[in-house]
Amino acid sequence: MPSIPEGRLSVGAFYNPHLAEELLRAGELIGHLAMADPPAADDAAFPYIRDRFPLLLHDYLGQLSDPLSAHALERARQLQDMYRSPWVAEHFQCLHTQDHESTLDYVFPPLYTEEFLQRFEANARVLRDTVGAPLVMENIPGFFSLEHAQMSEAEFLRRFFEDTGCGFLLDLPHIWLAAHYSGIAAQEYLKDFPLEKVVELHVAGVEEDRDLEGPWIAPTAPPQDILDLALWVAERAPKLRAVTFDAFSPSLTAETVLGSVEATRRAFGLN
Amino acid sequence: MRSVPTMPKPASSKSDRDLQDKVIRYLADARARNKSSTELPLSPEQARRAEKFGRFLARRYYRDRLARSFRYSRLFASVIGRTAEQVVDGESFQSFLNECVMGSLEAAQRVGQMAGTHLSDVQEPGAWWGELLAYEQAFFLQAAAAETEPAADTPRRRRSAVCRAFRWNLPEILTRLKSAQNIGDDLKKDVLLLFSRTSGGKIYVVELQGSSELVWQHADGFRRVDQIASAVSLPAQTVQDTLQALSQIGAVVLPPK
Repeated sequence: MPSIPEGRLSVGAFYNPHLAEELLRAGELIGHLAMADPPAADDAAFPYIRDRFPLLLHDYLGQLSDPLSAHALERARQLQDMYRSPWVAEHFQCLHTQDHESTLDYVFPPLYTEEFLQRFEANARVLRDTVGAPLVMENIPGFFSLEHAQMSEAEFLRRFFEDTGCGFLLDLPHIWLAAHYSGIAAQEYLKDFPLEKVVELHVAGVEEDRDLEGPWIAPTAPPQDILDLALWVAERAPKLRAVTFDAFSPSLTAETVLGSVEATRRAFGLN
Repeated sequence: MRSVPTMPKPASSKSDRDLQDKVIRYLADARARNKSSTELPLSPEQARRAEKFGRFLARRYYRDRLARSFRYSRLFASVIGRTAEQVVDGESFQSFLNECVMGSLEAAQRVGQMAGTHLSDVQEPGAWWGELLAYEQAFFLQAAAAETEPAADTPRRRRSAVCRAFRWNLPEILTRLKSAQNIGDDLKKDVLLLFSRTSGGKIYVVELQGSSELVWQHADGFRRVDQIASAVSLPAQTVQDTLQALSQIGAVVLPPK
């Protein structure tokens, strides 16, 4: 199976099954594909995709605020056996209740407290040991805050990465939004984040949302702001190995995916 | 063979994790957010932001499920000028957002009804159009209703499961729509379809025939297996096996063993 070469930055995208033919025809443009869902049983293109691209396991494996079930761990291991991902990704999120009766069905950050830090660290170690590969964790933005946090997002993440040795998957639209709603520049927001732990970057677009009355994550091309931020981070992230255009949706077009990867490569001087 | 390690035990009962659960329920339940006060440590400004986020989550949730469930009628969007997911941007959805419990059966029924009505009021692409919409509405109910089913003392149909008789062969119609083939009167055929969803979220649409239909209809939560067997004149083992199969696809809830 192909692998991401050492010492060279890979620029890739998420696997969108409805665009499989275009991805396969894209030549050397796409360096890797991240897998948000397992391949469907009737996805005839997937064997070719797996032969052609290094794959990154980026499925929902479970929320690490809680212990993963034996079933969830076994599923994670099976996915990793299929993809042989150089690292496995999960998120700093807690979106469903402990009794599973209520879920937000969307990324949502935990409270930044000592208790949650311990929970994430313990459960991340078990997941990492189960899949037998490095684990990277992705930052998740909040839209409101409770008067309960014991530390900042940056401190929570920094301590997590120091304690566990996991890698950092830095999602830049998430940072951009967190900074935007904090009323500061993204570079300023990032000043206490452990950029030296960054292994992978996510880039994508943002657009206005009617309910939030402000910008939010969108499956659109990354604007120059985000690409500039990516370069700024890359200069401070010696372990960075991959940049991924983070969008998967049945409505996504090949033009958007390929154009976004091209723009990202251009920003990094790789075209 | 490698063994799966045991995850660490959760922390004490009253914890930050419990508070997070309260936040999740608050965001998912518009009625909780409408109350004049909350026990959550939210300032008035942050409560306003949480309200916006709750509405954002619900609109996104139903848009996503409508797009996935009404994908065959969507093939006619350019002809009829409408798609199911347009309802989440309509005026009536605004008032729905003021009171919905995201993932509840009642909310799924309301949104499914909105979509069905929205797509019915058009020049029908074919005589089978109404049946296609009924199929997609039943599918949507499985995709959008994520309530946990209470345990049962006797076999009981899952509340969100739907059994519906069609006068057209819907499975074959879907196959033809996917491959852009014409649909003719040769596809007029009575079929009985059962729509269900497992607790893990997997959706099934299966054709019910013969004894399976009888057992399904009699799994009303009041009869034990032997009483169902007696009512449908089938061996108890046959009924037990059928109920087990229906349970595996999330159509019935069985008493714990």
